[in-house]
Amino acid sequence: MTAPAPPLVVSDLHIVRAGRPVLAGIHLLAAHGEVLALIGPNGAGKSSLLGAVIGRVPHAGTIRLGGVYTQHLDARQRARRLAYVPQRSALRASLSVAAVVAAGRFARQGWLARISAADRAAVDTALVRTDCAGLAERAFDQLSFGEQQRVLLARALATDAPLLLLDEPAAGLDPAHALALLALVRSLADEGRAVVIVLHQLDQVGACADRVALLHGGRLLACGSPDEVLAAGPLRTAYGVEPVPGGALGLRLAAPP
Amino acid sequence: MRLPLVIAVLVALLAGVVALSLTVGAASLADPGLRGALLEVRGLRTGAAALAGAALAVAGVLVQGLFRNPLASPSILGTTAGANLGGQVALFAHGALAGVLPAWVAPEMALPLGCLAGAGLALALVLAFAGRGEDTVAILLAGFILSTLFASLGAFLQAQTQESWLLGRAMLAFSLGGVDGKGMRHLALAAPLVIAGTLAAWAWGRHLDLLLSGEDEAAALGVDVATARRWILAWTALLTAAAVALAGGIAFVGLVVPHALRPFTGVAHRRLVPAAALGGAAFVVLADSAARCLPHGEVPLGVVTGLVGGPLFLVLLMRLRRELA
Repeated sequence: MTAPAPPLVVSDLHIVRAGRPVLAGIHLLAAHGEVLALIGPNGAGKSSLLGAVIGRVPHAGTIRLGGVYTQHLDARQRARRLAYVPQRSALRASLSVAAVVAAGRFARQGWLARISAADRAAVDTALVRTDCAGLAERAFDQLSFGEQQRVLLARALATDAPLLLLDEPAAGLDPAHALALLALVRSLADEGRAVVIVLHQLDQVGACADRVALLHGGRLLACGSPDEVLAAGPLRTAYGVEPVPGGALGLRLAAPP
Repeated sequence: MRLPLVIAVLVALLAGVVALSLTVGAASLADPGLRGALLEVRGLRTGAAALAGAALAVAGVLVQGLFRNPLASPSILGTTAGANLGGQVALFAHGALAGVLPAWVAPEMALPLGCLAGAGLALALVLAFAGRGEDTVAILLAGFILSTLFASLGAFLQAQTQESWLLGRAMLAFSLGGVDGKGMRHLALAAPLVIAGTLAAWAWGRHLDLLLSGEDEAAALGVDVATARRWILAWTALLTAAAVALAGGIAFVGLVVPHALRPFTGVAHRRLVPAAALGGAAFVVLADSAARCLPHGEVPLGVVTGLVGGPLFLVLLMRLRRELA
């Protein structure tokens, strides 16, 4: 029996914006059940990489989702293979949380958008998993930032997609909420999903990631286990910082037992 | 509020204003000799007003959703100005080239067909300027520039008609808006467009809901953003063209009606579209009745909708600001 194709394979990806190369020759793979953290200094191309995968950033090279090249997928087919959580949603309208999460089912519905039993079950499960069940009737624009991030994660879960793309989902959250979110991300991967998560705070990498890809100057500087990538050499090259025992980056936080 | 209740209230409101529109006016229905003719004339103009109002309100829902801006009006696309210019060209050419029109075009149909052609041209230009329809700012800029250009060309045509009193009056009446003198042919041309446009707006409602989250999130959720935008722009153009063909330039309907209804329907587009169609129809039928009843003879419809719609919009804006504060 052959193993199922990995949810994401990026091969020789090049992105040029306004004549300037943003990413060059990137190869990446995200397998079922793993959390791949994307790190790198500001402007390293992390968000552009996610933008290319969701089909919003023109690129050269190939992207395969579950073994199928993205150019062979229409918008709905692509959406059934991935879910995306932005750093901050552009949604400002007073849609109910239930409606926002139900939008995750769009790619699995026809034009009439009849809500099937599977749709309802997926939405309910996603609301419960993200601790949003009590928010279902609230208006999205009335929620706190942390609640909005949980709702966006619920919308992503409701898609039932095998690949989750998260663009700094914990940015702007206090440590307790950030840790809870990362723990949830970890458990989502443990269920078999592939998770690609952009992280800015390096202390969060250890909290959830199996592997780390370090982008610098549009290239993949290092890719491997957290211990390999968060070592002195790569960090010095990419960020110009030194890991010091007991220094800020050595700070380990844990959720209270 | 529950949607069936909102719809029921709006249907009742529309029925009421239609009954009012059939009964009010300079002449009385009590005269049995006049009754049939009066009802026919008033029925046609009431139908034209209802269709034009529905078209503009639904077009307003489409552009406000597409640009994620509750202050957007269908006229920002330039298609309203294009339809206006098309109508003016048709009037002008009809006057200048009377008798040259092909036999299959009934003379009174030159104007609505001109409106459709003008709106189509404007849409084609906007889409061409905006490339593949990816860039919102490019579309808005193109729409703004085209509106200005078309308005200037229309003013030029209007200036050319000052020599002919009849033609000059017709051009002025068209630009001020009005539904008087509409025949069965006008309604038969416009009704299928308005109905198709309203159904299409409902069908694209889910896409518009998802686009409220911005294009990146909508795309990741399965919306083909470029295709959705092209179709939504095209249906908006068609609806505004039908409205201009029926009623000339009537202001504020597309802006005010969706805005006024959102507190009752919520922002979900499949709830807003049917409510806007009914509310827009009722608003313009009522405005047309008022235009006929003012003491100093008939006032142009566009003046009434502007005079009512402007202050109404300000009230809505103030309420919105209070809610936000």
